[in-house]
Amino acid sequence: MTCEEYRVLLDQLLDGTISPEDEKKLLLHESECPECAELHTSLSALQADLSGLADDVPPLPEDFHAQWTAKLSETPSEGRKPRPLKIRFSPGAVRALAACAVVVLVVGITLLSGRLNSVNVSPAFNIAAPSLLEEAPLPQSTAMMALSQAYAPAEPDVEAEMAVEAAEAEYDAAAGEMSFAESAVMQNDTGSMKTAGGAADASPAEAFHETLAAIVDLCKSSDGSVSVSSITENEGLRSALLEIRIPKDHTDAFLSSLDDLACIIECTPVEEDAGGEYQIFSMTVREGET
Amino acid sequence: MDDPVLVQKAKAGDAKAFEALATPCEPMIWRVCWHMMGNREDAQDCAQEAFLKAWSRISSWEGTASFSTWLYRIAVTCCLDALRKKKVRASDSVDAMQESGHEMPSTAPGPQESLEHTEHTQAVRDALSSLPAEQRTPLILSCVEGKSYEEIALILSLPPGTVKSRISRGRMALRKLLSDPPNDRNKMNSTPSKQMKGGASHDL
Repeated sequence: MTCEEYRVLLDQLLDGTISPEDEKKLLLHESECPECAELHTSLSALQADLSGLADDVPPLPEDFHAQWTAKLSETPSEGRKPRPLKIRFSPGAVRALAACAVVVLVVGITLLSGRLNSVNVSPAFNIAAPSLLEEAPLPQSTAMMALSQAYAPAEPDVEAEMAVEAAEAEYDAAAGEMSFAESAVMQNDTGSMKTAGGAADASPAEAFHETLAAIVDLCKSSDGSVSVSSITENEGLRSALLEIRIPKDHTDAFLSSLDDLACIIECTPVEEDAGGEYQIFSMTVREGET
Repeated sequence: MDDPVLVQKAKAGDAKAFEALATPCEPMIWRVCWHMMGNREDAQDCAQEAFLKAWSRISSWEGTASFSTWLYRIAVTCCLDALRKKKVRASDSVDAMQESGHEMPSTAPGPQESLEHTEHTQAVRDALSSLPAEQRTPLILSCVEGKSYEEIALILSLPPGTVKSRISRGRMALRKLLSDPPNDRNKMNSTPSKQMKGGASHDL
């Protein structure tokens, strides 16, 4: 048994999940390796120290119960908040949608102005059209006009998107449904969201945020997960260190998707998970990198 | 097993039912907040916030985990948020409390034994609070709180394999912290950006 294999078994021993057979192997290795024996001794002592902290808790404050129950009446119990709808429109999709709206609008206006005969339409449409024209075609045109106005901007409203993401992060964190790491990504970037402008000329802060958001999305779509090891600031620019787990059969697609993202300094495979199903990557994302 | 009648009433907005459901969890929530925050005041704030947050979100609890696990998860999230916002380590707060004359918990009998016990416990607590949150939290939940990997995975929304590897790395980091002299420990706690440049970032 190698010392590396020994450490895996030692973890199992400390967690109380080791099998009797493996425990024998572990003890045999210890008898031949003083360093591993010392590791066992020190980690066992540490385990006992940590267990000892469980008893080192001051008594519950006397007024604890009274305090939170008194505030219940001031804190209304809300029903489940509807999750904010998260729709992302790429610039191309918005332009296409706007173009469709304009086309429909033109057709609607054309029909309204009584030029039906000069428009080349299908027979099926012709059958229904006269009655529509005579009775109530206006609401359709109004709706289309509103639609075209709503989606008229050629660029997506990044600020609105980010506000939605911030609301989602707040909601999820409050409901205890988001991992603390993911919540950290969102919360750490809330400050920069307010200054967001167009996507095409994104500032370093925006690019940083968008990369983090894209990585979260990529990990989710790859059936993986991402957690933030640290977010630090150096000379006004932030760096995020991420730990990413991706199922092994998705790693190639995942890595190739990273090519399109800015700010990524490195993405290094670190280790496999215990079950061998996932590859764990260490990724550094830095604000201001292109 | 959560009382379904209480759950139903609490979800319908009955504060008394919620109180009956949540009160038995008080010691558990207080304990984890104390271990996470390291001082009375912050622990109390986070624990109070957890109960109120649970009350305001009770309708969103779907019952996939037990009420106590759900509440525990909210409490851990409150603590992590508080630590992030204040950017203070629990040990700093403990030091501040001691400086301002607050009594620290003591359980040992004789004065000398008491002092040694307190010093050693404090050293472990300090070292624990020096760890990055992603190692410290599962380590507290596992080794101090006695939660299983599966429970921790549920509380932290992480795969059990990640929980396991973080606990393992946390143990090794804690061992190193406790075996190093304090000066070296301070060096280890230098800015993470420097650690990243050093190439050991994945071990954070």
